Amino acid sequence: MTAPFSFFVIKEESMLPAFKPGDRVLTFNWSRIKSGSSVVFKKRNKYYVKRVVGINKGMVAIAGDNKAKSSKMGPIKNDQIVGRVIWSGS
Amino acid sequence: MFLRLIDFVFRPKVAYAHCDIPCGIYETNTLLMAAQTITRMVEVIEALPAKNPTARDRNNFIRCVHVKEKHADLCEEQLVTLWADFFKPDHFAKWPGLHEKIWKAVNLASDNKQNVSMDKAKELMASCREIADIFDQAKVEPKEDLGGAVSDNPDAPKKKLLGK
Repeated sequence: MTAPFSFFVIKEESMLPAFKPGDRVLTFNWSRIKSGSSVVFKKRNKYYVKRVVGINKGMVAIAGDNKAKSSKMGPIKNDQIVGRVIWSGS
Repeated sequence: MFLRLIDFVFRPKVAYAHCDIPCGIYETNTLLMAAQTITRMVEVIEALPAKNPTARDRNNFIRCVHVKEKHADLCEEQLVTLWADFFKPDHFAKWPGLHEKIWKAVNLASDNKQNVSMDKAKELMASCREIADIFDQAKVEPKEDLGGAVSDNPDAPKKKLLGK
């Protein structure tokens, strides 16, 4: 069973202005995610933070907010998601 | 100071707000190789003795399962990349059912992790071939000369796997 909360520190800039490098974010890992939420997910043993832009048949489309420094990262599976960001601070 | 205290207590992990660079280079060789590897691993696993396996047999069994798992993950990743980054709305309009084909192939890759089944391995291979065929029809070849940056016949492995 996963922990209800997880804590991360942000690196890189593709989620500006919502999150900047060095920000801390807290995720709640027991809620359903929906379009518009920021989520932390795991891919190839690394954690990433992006925004959900669509959900289709168990696949979640995600993208960065900073269009100048981000492009589509490809959809992920629901079970790759760690949790939804509920708090951030610097 | 407060942040240092939070970091000390909660030990945050790093979450990358990763910047993806779209290179525009796509291929299906990797997908087809991964699907074929799964088929081969199932073949090898099924050939191992079920009764009185030796230490070597058990060692091979674990190694084959590990390789099967890795290549099923690779299959999924390749399929999802094609779905999200290569295929565009006009491709989905031209090939209705393409969403479902890719979704089915991703689920078959997952099935092949959970099972040791030649039927499922062959079904995955067939699904991947279908998607690779559509990819070949959809792909526009680059106009510029890559000047030796690619092999003389980059499609040779794929043509062999597709039986062409």
